[in-house]
Amino acid sequence: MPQTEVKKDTVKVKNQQAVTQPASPWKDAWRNFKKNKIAVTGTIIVLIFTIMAIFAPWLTPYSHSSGQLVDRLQPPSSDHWLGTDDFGRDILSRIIHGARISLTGGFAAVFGSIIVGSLLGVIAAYYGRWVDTLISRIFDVLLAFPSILLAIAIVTILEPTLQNALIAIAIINVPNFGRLIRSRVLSVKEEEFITAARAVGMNDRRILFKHIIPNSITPVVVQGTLAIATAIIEIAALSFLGLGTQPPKVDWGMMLSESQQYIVSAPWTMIFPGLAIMLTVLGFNLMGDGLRDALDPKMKS
Amino acid sequence: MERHLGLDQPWYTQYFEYVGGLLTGDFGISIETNRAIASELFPHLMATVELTIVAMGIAIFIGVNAGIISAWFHNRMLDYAVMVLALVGVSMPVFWLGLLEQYVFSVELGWLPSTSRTNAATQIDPITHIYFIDTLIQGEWGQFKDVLSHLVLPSVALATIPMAIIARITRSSMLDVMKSDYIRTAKAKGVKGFIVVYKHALKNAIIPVMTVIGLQAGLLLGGAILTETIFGWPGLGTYIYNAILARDYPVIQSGILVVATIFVFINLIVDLLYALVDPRIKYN
Repeated sequence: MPQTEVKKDTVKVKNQQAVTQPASPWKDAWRNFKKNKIAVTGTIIVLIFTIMAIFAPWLTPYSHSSGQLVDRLQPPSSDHWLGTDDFGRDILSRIIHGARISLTGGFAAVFGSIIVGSLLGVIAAYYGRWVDTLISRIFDVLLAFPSILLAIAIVTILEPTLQNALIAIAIINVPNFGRLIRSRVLSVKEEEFITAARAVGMNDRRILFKHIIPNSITPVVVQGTLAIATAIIEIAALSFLGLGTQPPKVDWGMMLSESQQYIVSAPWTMIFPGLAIMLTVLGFNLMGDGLRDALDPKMKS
Repeated sequence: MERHLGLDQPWYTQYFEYVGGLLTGDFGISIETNRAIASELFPHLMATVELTIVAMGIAIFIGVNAGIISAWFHNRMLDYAVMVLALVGVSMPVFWLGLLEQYVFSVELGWLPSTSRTNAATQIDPITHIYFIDTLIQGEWGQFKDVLSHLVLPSVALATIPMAIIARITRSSMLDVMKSDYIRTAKAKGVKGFIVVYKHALKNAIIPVMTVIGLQAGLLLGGAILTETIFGWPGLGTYIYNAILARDYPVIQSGILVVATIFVFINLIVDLLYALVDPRIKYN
């Protein structure tokens, strides 16, 4: 019972604001987002890792790619906060540098799949008929494989490099965005303002870019944030299997794969890179959940 | 050589021969070992089936119950604790979790073995190739225990992510159902809380959960590749991974084909199960 009272209150407050100042939906969303402590925590985690990635060369106390063999497999100490690995390289420095690949990689792969997925989704939904059938079947085929398996298969065909790993991750995420945009466009297309725009004499391209895409963007923002989280794990997974980042570059998944042999003698080489992956992914997940609640109050669980 | 491999035939004849072979259970020959892929693949497939069934069982049992507990204690400490755990679970890379488990339970505590399916000394006569069933049928208790102890770590690692997702969906689905009139009626009639939850509410709350379970069962097949590599589990994942390293294309192709087929079938079965659970859904 007390719960319904709380809800009534919030509704009242919203109505008053709507009367006094006509806020944009994005402003509304931002206000909701700020109130959500969990979402803000997630954003702070993401920001910390982003700052680490941008300023990596200035933040790292040691080189990430070379070390003193004398210092190999040292436990955490005041000199090396998170210890050293089998080549005597400072693990903290390597994690800070690794943030670069995880974040830019995650962002790039998801951005790629959003662009391609949206394009295909919009075309399928807007033109319908055989175009729709063709594109939807392509999505179905891609979705018929467990995603990480498909990524592994693509990388194997192309050759194992970081760039190809990102392409593979972008490809496996295309159908998710494509379907999302397609269903969104299908429902927006039927709205009256689209008929109005067509009656005024707007051409297809203008209607697409001025009306349909702006009205379909919010679910993509939410899905995109959550997809970065998954993409970061997938990049790490491919690197872990030796199909992603190649030395001398450093990546959290690669660090984990190197640490496998030292699990008994130097567990810190395994614990900290994994912790970095988990925290970053957690940050993006919290942020994505918060964005969904803020942008689409109906979806709130 | 060319004739032996059928390369002198046009590509469509080659293709139809390949598909015809697939339908009669002939996957071709492995380049690496020069043996029939079908006979090599079967034991690996069953090893993966064993791992995923146990993992799915753990994930469903703990996930559904955690979701119910969380919904029952809505907005109280226990609810928050379960949800935080679930969020961490969703964010956990399976390969890291596997390594952590090995470190804690094998290296530090020494409770459980960290790799492979059985002790090297254990000889199991395979019938179904699902070892925990084989040993049960044969009544070999020592071997059964050995098999189970090897199963614990990899299956828990594999179960974590689906478990967390199932818990979150069960919670939100239960919260919805618990608000409905018939639940209030049941409560008003004095039906015990336990029975209301498990007998009345769960029936309606389980449908969205089943969708997720179906999706996750498919994803488990993908997760199995990573888990198997870490735990040295001789399943399909390891088989495909080794084939990738050896560039053994017929094996890669067959392995991926088998996994994709199973994935599609799981989704079909889940669709059919809906109708069974919810009589309001009918297929013509």
